[in-house]
Amino acid sequence: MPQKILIVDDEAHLRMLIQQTLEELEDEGVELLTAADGEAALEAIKAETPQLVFLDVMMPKLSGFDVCSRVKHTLGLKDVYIVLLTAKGQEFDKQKGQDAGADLYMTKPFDPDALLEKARTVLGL
Amino acid sequence: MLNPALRNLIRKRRDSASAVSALVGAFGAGLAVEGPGGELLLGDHGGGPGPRWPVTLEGEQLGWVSGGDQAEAVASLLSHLVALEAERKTLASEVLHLYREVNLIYSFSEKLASTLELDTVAGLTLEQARHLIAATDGAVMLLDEASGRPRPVATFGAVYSSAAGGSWAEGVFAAILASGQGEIVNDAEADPRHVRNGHAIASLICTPLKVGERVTGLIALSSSTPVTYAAAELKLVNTLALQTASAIENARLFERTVQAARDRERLAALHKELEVASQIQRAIVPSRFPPFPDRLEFAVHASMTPAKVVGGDFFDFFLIDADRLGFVIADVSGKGVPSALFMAVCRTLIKATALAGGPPEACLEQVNRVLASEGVVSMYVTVFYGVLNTRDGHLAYCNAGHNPPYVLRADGSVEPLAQVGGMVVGLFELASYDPGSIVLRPGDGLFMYTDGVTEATDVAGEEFTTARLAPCLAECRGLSLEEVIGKVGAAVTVFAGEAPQADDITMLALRYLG
Repeated sequence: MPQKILIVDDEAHLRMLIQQTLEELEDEGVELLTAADGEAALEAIKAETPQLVFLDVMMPKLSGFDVCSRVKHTLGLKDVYIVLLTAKGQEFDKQKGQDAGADLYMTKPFDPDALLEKARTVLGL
Repeated sequence: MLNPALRNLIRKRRDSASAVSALVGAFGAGLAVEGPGGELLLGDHGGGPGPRWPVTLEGEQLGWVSGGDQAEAVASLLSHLVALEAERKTLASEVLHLYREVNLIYSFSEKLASTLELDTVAGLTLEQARHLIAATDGAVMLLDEASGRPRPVATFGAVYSSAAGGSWAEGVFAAILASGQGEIVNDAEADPRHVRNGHAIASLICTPLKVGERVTGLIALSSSTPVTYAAAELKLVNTLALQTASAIENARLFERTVQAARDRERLAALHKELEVASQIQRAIVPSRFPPFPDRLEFAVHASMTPAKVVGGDFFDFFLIDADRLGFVIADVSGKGVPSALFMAVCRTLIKATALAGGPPEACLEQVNRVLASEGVVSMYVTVFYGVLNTRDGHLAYCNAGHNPPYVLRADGSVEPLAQVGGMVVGLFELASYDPGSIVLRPGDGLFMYTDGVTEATDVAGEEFTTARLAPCLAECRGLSLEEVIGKVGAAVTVFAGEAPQADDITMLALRYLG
């Protein structure tokens, strides 16, 4: 089973940026998956059980908090490492993130090096 | 161009991979996609060896398609897909590069916003610049306000930190400071403006720090080996410069504000101190007149107008016994708090000694001994001390270096009191003092003053002097002591005009009424 990372953001350019940031992991056998909204993200997580999810908080329909909470609490997939991505300047409710069961949160604009580093750590690469 | 492996395209990218495998499947058995080394990526080799068609990207062979008539078409489709993927990757990588820069500048602004230290700002700028630009040496320089030359406030590498002054690339710096425009000098050796420092600067990128249109300094980044700096890099340095310049300006403003606040505080503390000294001075001299309302055989009046900077004048009077009135006027050397304190000591000491009842010269001799032996170096006091016998008008006195008082005769004539006494008090322990005496007839008085009266200056710097004081006193016949003092005070005020009062103005007058 290859390791998988799911990138969830409703903005296409951010998906591409994160994908490009993590590209070198592809050469090490990691599969990069993307989803453009919360519902698609849930489907992908159920079907693929990625080890790591970069999850945007502000999305239409299902927010990052909701997705995270369902994955961690409803689906009971506690081993999926979830990094919430929040826009800088927006008030981020840390308590809400914690309640949803998120493992970490990072702010956008993200530091590509920090993001890659985090992915390597979580995947043990 | 980034080269995506064919393998990744057909195995990893789910969208393309499924399309490719559907296509290969549709063309039936025998179709095979191989990697550059002939390893099977998709399909099977069932068709055996036959013609194979290359999958290429810009002339490079990434793999092969073989088996059947459709192999050529599939190969060209795969070539097309690879080209698309390569283009996508190139774009994505460029966008990521830009994003990285934006992110760096973003966090740079944040860090800048959180500091008000000039050195920290300059250091952050260089740290950031090194992330963005390839350089071996760099500096943030600010124009020295005195010399107008750039002076480094932060550096990295050896070039800008070793030499003194702003002479590394003087010509280029001068041009940039003058034009207010950043520049790239990729071949410093060939630049006619003469870049110094041997070969330490091969290529240079330099941009001014500007606040509005005012140039306040510059950022210099250079490489000791030749590099080709591009316009995009100059643009980045310009962006940094823009933020750095305003952050430095903020830091400077803040520094100035803090300094000004400190100065204000220090000044306020000083004012407070002087005010306290002034209060000590006022509180220490008698202020209720007439002081002895039930004594009809003599009258006393006094006034003291302290200067803004506290001086050391004082006066005093006290009954030694039923028939003897002691009175003192004195001027302590210097000004300010030390003088005020010395004055307090003198006054207490003189009064305590005088109340023992000895003659004036003995009294001052004793005070002098104490002050000279234990006193503060270089502080002294001029004292006139007199004792009036209130029964017969005999006045014994001793003048220790003080301005001679005037005798105001009942008939209106004015004469200076004979100068008898000795040295100022507090300087020489062995100084001796002579006794002076005079007899006052009923109606005669004595007018004493400090040099604040005679040395009061007008706007032209001319002093009031005794040449104005004596005639003024001569016009005082029939006036009460309060009126005499008021008249002299008014004369001094009119004389001084707009000129500030430099010294305490103190007057003491007494009259024997018989």
